[in-house]
Amino acid sequence: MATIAYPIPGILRRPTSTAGVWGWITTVDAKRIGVLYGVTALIFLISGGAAALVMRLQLAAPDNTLVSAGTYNALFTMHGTVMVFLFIMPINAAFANFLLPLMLGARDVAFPRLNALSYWLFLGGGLLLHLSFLTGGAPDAGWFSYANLTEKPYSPGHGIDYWILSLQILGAASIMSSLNFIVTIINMRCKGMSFMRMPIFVWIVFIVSFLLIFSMPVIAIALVLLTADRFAGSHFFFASGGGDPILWQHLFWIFGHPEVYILILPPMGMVSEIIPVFSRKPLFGYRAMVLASVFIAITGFAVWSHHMFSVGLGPIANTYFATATMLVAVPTGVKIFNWIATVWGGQVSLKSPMLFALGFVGLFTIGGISGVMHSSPPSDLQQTDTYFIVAHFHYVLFGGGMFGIMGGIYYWFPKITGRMLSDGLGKLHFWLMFIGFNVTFFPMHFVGLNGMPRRIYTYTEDMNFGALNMLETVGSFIMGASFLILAYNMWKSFQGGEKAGNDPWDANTLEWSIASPPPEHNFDEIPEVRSERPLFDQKHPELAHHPPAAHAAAAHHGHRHIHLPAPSYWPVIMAAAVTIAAIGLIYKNYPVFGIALGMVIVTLYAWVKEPVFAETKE
Amino acid sequence: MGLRYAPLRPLLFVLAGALLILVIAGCSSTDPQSTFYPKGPAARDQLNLFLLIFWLAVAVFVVVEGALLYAVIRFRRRKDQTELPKQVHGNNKLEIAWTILPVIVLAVIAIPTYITIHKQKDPPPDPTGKPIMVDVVGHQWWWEFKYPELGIVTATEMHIPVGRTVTFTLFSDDVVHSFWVPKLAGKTDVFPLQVNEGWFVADEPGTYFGLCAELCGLSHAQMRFKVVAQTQADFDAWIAAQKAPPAPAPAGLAARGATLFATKECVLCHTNTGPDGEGVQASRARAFENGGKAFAAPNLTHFATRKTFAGSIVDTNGESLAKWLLNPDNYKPGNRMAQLASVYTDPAKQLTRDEIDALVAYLLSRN
Amino acid sequence: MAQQAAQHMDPALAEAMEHDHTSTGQPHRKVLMWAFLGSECMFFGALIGAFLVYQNSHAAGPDRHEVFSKIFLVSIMAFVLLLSSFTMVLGLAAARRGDQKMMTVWLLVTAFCGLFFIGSQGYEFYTFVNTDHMTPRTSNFAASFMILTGFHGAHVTGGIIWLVSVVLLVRLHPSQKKLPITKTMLPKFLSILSGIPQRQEGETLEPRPRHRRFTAFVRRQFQAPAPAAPVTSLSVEEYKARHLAEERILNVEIVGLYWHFVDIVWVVIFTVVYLFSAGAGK
Repeated sequence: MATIAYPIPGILRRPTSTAGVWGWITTVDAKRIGVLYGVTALIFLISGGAAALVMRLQLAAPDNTLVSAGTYNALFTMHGTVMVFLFIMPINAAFANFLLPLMLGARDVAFPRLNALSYWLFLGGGLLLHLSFLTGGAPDAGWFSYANLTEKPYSPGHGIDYWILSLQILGAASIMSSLNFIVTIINMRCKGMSFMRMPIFVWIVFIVSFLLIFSMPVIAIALVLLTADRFAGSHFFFASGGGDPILWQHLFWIFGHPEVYILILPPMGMVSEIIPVFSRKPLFGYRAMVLASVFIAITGFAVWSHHMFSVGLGPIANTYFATATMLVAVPTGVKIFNWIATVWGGQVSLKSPMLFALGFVGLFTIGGISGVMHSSPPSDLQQTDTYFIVAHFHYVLFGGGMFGIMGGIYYWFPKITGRMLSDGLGKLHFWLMFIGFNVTFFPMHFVGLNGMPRRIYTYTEDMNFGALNMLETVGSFIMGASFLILAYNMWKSFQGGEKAGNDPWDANTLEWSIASPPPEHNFDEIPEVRSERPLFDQKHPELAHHPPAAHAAAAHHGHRHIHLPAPSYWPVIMAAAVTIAAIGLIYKNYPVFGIALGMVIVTLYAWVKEPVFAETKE
Repeated sequence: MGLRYAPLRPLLFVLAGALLILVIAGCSSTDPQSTFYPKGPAARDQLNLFLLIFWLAVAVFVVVEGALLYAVIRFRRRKDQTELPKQVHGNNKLEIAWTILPVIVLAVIAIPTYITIHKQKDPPPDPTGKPIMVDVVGHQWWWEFKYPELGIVTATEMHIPVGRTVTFTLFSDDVVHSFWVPKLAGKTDVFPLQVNEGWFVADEPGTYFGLCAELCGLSHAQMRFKVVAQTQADFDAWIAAQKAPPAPAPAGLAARGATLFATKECVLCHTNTGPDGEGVQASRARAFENGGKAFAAPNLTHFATRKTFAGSIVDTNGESLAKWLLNPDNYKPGNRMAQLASVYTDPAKQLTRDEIDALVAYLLSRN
Repeated sequence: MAQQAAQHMDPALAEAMEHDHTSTGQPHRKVLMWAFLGSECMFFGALIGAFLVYQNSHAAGPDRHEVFSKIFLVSIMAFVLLLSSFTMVLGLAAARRGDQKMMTVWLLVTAFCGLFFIGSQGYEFYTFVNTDHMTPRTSNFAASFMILTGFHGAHVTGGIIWLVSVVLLVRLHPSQKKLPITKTMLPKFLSILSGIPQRQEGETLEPRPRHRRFTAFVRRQFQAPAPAAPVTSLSVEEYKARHLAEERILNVEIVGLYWHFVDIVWVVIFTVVYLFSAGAGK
């Protein structure tokens, strides 16, 4: 074996241990990377949530002076950017990383080290964004950062530079992890798992990965143009040099609208896994669900200008984008009806994951309906850039996304940690979050229609916005408190929660066929599946169309050594080098930038020379 | 299990009721920016379309949420249920039905949408045959209104005659803004490169609140304005006042203020001798982008005719003017005057209390 | 059947094969490259879009018809880059038949074509700046043009480094005998440049017209690949050695995919940026 393995370059000895902190830092195990993603995302959630609560305090009363205009602008910019890029996307990636190999019946993802790099780049990008707070001046032009407000004369500080570069890094991380997921799903399905037998969550990760690799480049290029403006003196978005700020809006929303589906589709996938299990029925219309997701994804690239009805694109463009946008409601409706039909005729047990999943369906419906309301341009002209929009997308991304994600956490937490979360606390969490959410965001529809624009740090008393804003602030703190229950619930579970066993929910998919938490190699024997509910088939062979293959092979092989990808230092080193290069660029410190870039190249070579699998000493 | 949460249900109803009462209390016809009480045909058509969609949405909401709640309550798992329920994988007829049904509902929304888009494309004919034309220019963080046919330039308060069609062009001298008068019409964005067009008609005299609806920097929240709809006679009187040549400053305090206005470099950004010349504001805006010490600022020739200033959030009177001149950041954080004018950036040139009083007297004499 | 075979297989071999098994039969890295190229399309698409938006926004600087009136050099560049796609194919063919020397030669010729392209692009930028007085600050036309072609140039540069790296990874491998370059690549390269077939030591002179090499190459492309030997007859070492050989071919194939993509993008850029401007307007 030694004859064909590449020699390891002598710079660093390859890490051999998977224990301790270094084990986590050098890990290439998709499950561990998933946990890292999840924990990091939850920490960033605290940052984004705290920003939201401070904003709600500021808006609680008219003419409030709790924070300054500049701080408020920074707060909503950070809130938006953090929640989109540092919470929802990475926590979706956390579930995808942990679950993909398990659901596919694989040992790992296709490119374990690339996977680690994605995580460390994400961490670097997230820390870079937060570093702006410490170095004076967070970005303050909104998560959409419409040019030309982001140009030097109007945003002279480094905040926008931090925003640009951290988004570039986060985008690169997302593209890498998406490519990885795509190859994993195409190439690492276990025996018998045709595309139409994949769990619906895997399907959705597959679709979302394509959305990411096609949409992220567009924002990357927009950011490159903005960087050229800010660093090299070009005029891409500068009117005085003939630059057109509307180009930024087009590029941003060509990315930004698919991004919305990137955020919401994975929670839809989680809900589509949870509802059948707690209804004891298969997902109603599996094929229709897959097709609907594909249709939503494709349409996602054809509707971006509905964010721009007030831009003045003309009646023909507005008519087209209105029609295309309304069409999105059709597959979305199919999904909602299919979820209800899954419940219909089932045996529903309202455990906490199911409560969150049903909360998702109920609240997402409201967000979907209000979405149709502003698909009509004349009606939207009164709604766009008001709190009506804030209400709409929070019903989609919080009422939908967050409830789905919480459902996912309650559902898969036992698989990840081996211990159950308390169901009673989970229900309390759900009801507090449900009430707090509606008290916060439902009145926003009316405040918005009453003429309260977004992104204002204060309002005068004569506007009559005060009462509802106070109510919203109260609701937001109820919502905030509900997360403390989640934290307490997790802590309690770690202190000695009930042992989960392999299959606590009587579930259908492969991840529940193995121990909780799963062993490092996932499966002793790679399974073979015959339907989209492989575990159900095993438990109910009398109902299966094709009885599952007997596991004769397992007996034959017994327990043998399974060769897994070896840990590596290079992902974390490369991510650190990239982040340092970005800081060098922000401060135009070109020696630092150059050295860091050189480190990236050296690391790249070391990476290539290092084999995926370590040599075994025989 | 259902019984365990039964006490919660009345609580939920109480909460929902309280929410509804608060929401209804939160919307009344006196709300200055409510889109529910339009005062012109453009906003009214937009509201009618909204209400059509709204009631359809309510119907969809009731059906979907009703079905969900019914299914969850009706099909709860009982303790004695050990057998699996019937394993239904789908139903093609049903699925086709609920694909087509939304299409029909959407068609009901789409057709009136197309009609309204088409209807609002062009302004309605003006009763006199000649609409009032206004050039709206967005600046950080104030609005400039030019009446090219009348030779008037003003800021913060836009005067229009009732019942006449007002067509406007929109243009920005710096960043992107959005022009919105909720009671008269929906938003139109304001760009530095593209000139947008819009129109509205006011049905009855009154003061309608307007605001910038696109994030444009620090004082975005204070970038408001008012549309003053007047009878034709009042409007004509206003035109006459605006077209009058600037009055000489009365002797005494105001005259001293006039001198200060010139010597303290106020004139670098503010014109006080009639309408700004062609390209003057634009050259100030370009100067700012290139790092110069100028910025497009409101024309002050007839300042005292305006009831409000500083983004229409402050009533024009001696006290508020003095507070503004002492430190403009008192009203508008980050404003360009405090950032650029030498009387604020250079401690040696700071305005004294007397100088402020003189300037206030001068400004209040500009009517 | 395969399952039955697997049951009688040496566990170590089974494990090795399990590592290399993919659902589609295509190696992971190849699927990755295709997906990555899909993503790249959007990068270039956005840049070309930005160029189209700004192509007439030349401000006080020269306009595109003026700048692109002379397209002789850029036509040569396009030709050489397209030619390099062909040499890339030859390199892959050599790799497939296990001819490491020819593979090395063709890959280096490909890299050389890329170098010529980059050099010419550098010269082109130099003349734009010094003769036409056009920098990214001049106008949005100039800036969007330079960012688009610069982004493409960076891709070509990356491709050159990658090609050379692929060659070096094979040539510097300990299993390779270290012959000085004057005895290995240089004669081969000279023989290609001069058209004189290279003579091996002790080789009897035999006429080998190049066209016959070409027809042989074409014939090979249409030949079905040799059927894989039955799995049971393999030892682990044999399997792994064969797999390593396949991996090396894959290295060439993947850099080839990338290189062809970069060439195709240049065809689009050449058409949209240069030809449209040189032809239309005045």
